[in-house]
Amino acid sequence: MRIQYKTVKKIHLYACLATAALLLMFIFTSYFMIYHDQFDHDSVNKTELFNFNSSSVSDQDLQNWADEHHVPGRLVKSYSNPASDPVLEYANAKVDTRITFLTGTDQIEVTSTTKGKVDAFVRIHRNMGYGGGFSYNIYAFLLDVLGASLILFTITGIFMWMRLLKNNKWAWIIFLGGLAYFGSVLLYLTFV
Amino acid sequence: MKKSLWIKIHLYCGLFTSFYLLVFGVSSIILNHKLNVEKDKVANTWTTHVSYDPNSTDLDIALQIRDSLDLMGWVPPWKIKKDSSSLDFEITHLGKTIDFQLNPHTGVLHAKERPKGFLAVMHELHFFNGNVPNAPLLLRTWAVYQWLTLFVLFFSLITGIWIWVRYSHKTWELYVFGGIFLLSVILMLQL
Repeated sequence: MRIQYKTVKKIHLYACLATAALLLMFIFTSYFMIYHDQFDHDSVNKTELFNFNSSSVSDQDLQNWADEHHVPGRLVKSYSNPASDPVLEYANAKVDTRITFLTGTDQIEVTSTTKGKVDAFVRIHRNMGYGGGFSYNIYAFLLDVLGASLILFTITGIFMWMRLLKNNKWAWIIFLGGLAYFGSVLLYLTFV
Repeated sequence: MKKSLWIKIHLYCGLFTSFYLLVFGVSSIILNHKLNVEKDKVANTWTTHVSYDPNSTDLDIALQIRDSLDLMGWVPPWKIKKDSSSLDFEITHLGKTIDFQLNPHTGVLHAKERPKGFLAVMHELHFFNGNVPNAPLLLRTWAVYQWLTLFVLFFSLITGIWIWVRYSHKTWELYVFGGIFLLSVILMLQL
C-alpha cells in the first residue's frame, strides 16, 4: 500500500496543532527550569487548626474532610508521621497542602505552602499521571497524545522531507550531524 | 518571503530537533504511566585497591575514590552506609549505577556495575542538563544542544503554524484547533 503524501502531511499538521498549547507551555517552562537560579522562588506558608469531633480518623474520613473544605489539588501522598498521626498531602501547581490529624487533641492541622508564579509554571510542566479527578485525567490523556505526537512529528516530518526535499544538502548535513551527536551521547551513556 | 523558503527553514529546524523530540515523546509516555524502564541486573564486578585520606568524612572518601578512579557520576549521600568492616556507597549517572564496598582497613574496593539499559538512558536524557561530575566534553556539550533545541523547537513550531495559517488553513481547522488550544490552556490553569 502506497502511503499518500497528503495523508502524512495532515497527520504531521494535526499532531502539531492538537498539542501546540502543551508544546508552548513545555518550551517556556523548560526555559524557567534551565535558568532556575535567575527567578524568585519565594513561597508563603500558612498553618491553621480545625476542630474535629472524633478521637480517631481513617484516611477516608480525612479525604472527605478535605473535599468538604475544598482543599486544592489532588491527593499525592498518604502516610503516618513519626508521632503516628495520619497525614494526607494534596498538591496543585500553586499550592501544597498537608493535612494532619493530631491524635489526642481531636484537631486537624492544615499547612499550606503557596508557590511563586515561576514555580507554579514549573509544576504544570511536572504534572503527570492519571487519577485525581476529571481535569487531571483529561490532562494526562493530552500528555499521552503529546508523547505520541512528538514521535509522529519526527516520523512524518522525515517522510515528507524524503518526498519533497530529498536532495537538499543542508537538510542532510543537519540531520546527519544531529544523528552523529545524539547517537554518540546515547551510545556513550549506554555502554561506557 | 516565498513559501518554499519557509518550508526549508521549518525543515531545517525540524531535523535539528528531531532526535530530541523522539526522546521526549518516549519519555513523556514513560513518565505519564510511571513505568519502570531501569534494568537492575549486575553485569560486571571488579576489585581494586584504593588510597584516600582516612580522616575525611564518608562522603569525601567516596568522592576521592570516584575522582581517583576517574569515574563519572554522582554520589548520593543518602546511599552511604558504614559499619565497622565496610563503607558502602554508589556512583550513579544516566546510564549506570556502580555499587561499591570498601574495606577501610585494607583499602580493597569491590564494585558491582548495574547498567540501566538503552530505554532508561533515553528516558533520563529528558532530565539531563550536561552537568555530571567527571563527564567528558561530549556530554558537557549537551547543555548547549539542549538550549539550542529549545530555541529551534520554538522557532520550528512558529514557522509550522505560520505556513499553515498563511498557505493552507481551512476555516474549520482554525475553529477546531483554536478550541483545543484554548481548552488546553484552561485545563493547565486548573491544575
